[in-house]
Amino acid sequence: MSPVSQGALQRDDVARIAERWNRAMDASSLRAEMKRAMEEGKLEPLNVARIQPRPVKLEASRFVLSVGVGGRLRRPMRLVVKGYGDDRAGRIFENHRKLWNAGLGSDGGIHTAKPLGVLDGLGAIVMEWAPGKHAQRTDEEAAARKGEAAAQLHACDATLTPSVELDKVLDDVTKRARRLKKKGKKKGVELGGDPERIAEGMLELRSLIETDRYAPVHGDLGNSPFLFSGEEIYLIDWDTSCHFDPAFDVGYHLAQLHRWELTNGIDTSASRQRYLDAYLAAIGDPGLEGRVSYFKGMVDLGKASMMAHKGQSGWQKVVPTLVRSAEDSVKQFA
Amino acid sequence: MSSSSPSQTEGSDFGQIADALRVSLIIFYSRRGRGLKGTADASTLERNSGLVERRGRSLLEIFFRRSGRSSLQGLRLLELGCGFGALAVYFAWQGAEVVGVDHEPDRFAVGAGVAEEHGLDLGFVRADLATFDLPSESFDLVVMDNVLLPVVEREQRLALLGRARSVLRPGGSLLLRSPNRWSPRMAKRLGRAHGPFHLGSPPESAREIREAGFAEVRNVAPPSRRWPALLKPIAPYLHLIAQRSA
Repeated sequence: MSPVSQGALQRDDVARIAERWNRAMDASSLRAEMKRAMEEGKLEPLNVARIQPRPVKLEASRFVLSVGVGGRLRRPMRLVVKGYGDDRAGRIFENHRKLWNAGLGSDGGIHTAKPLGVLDGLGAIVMEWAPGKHAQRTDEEAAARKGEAAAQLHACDATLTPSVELDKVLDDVTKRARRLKKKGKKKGVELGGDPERIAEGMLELRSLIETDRYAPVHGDLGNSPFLFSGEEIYLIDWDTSCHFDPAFDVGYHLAQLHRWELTNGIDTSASRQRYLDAYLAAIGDPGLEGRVSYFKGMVDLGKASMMAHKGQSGWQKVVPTLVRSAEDSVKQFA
Repeated sequence: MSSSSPSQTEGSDFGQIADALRVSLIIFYSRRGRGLKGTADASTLERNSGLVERRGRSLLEIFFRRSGRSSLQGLRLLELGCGFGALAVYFAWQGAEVVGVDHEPDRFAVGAGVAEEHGLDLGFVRADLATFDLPSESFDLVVMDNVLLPVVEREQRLALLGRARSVLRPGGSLLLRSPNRWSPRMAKRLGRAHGPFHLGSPPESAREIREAGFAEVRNVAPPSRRWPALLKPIAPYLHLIAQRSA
């Protein structure tokens, strides 16, 4: 789950993704789109005389291509083209550009791939390819660096859109909790607690969690958006970026590591603690820890519902632990 | 199955069906939580959507050439190892009453959903190819596209071909497409792949089909102009057609 709602899967959007994917995979069609965008000033000048799109990933809501082009001085460049089935590309590009201008494009600290433009005809954004590799989830040193990087992101002076209201996120969690309860009842699965009651508990604590200290939030800050390239850290994937409580991002990361631990049976408690400690030390706001716990519980509950809804393998085993974890996290905050 | 199926002659456009297959495949992979990754998955997507018509047309050209027929109207067709059922959808669109056999119903649901959406006559039997049991002498044409590759044991291949023979009506045809051991490109590609495979050569494959009780076994040149008759022994795929004698 993310503060920016993705909406239910619509077949029309998937049909649009398929159509856009086909056009983007065709070199001449992609070149034409890029030339048009350059003429309209929506894409930085690039030499697209030679262009080679390669598939990276295709999902129902987006696609990712790696595109090789000749650079301005005929230096080969590797780009990423990310397309969507709806009209979100413009907002994502704007958020990416704001973050780049707010410091993620300069030397030192954390980086992001350089945003290059928007291809309206393909509902896609274009950026440079970010170098680096993912860290192991159990790597404690990397966890500490990720915590510091998250704190630097949240300290960026950029106001992203949308600005998310807590009530909207709580509504979403309540719906997910109801759906999970229904699914557990239907399948006769003991859920480890009452999801609806946990969501109600979150609502009751609403006034305590509310804050005006909003910041740029990634929205999907698990392990994969962090890329390590020597001493540098790159943050990528701004699809769900928004202006919200930064504690959400931290809780999300901890929840994701915990869920990975449950699925894979590999202990991540040490790296979770290092991540949190490094984040809190860098951000200098000790009061944030309670809110992190609240949002971790929220993400646990949301993900439990998603796993059950999709019938992901082993959900009957993992979901009860996630529900118990959600309940504990909320109690810890209270 | 639906009682009527629109055929090509009624002016339908398979492009729309190919698009529907593409959308259903993307949803299938997304619901499994992984999406389609890299060149291999992109190729699977196209083989089962945008390229289905070309694959199906090549096979049918061989059948039409050998049988003297010009359409599938009124024929019962069985596709063994149908996977997503994309090719089966194409044959149904061509007017045949089609049954697909595979052991993975989730995958076949992709083709079945598209067939239903477009009013095509397509049924499915969930079964292992090593044990499937269908009424004998109930089909006019059996298609086996790329299904013999993982059947490593000769005896198992003969048994599978024998079962294909038994469901054919006397005079019915078997149409088989399989990677060719004599193709340098195929040998190289499969040499890098994992898992046990059996790559048949043209004479070996023809001999096995004969041993399974088929007559008039022909290794035909693939319809593609890229592989003229002279080069057919080293074409990437074998295209074999045989008949169950009356």
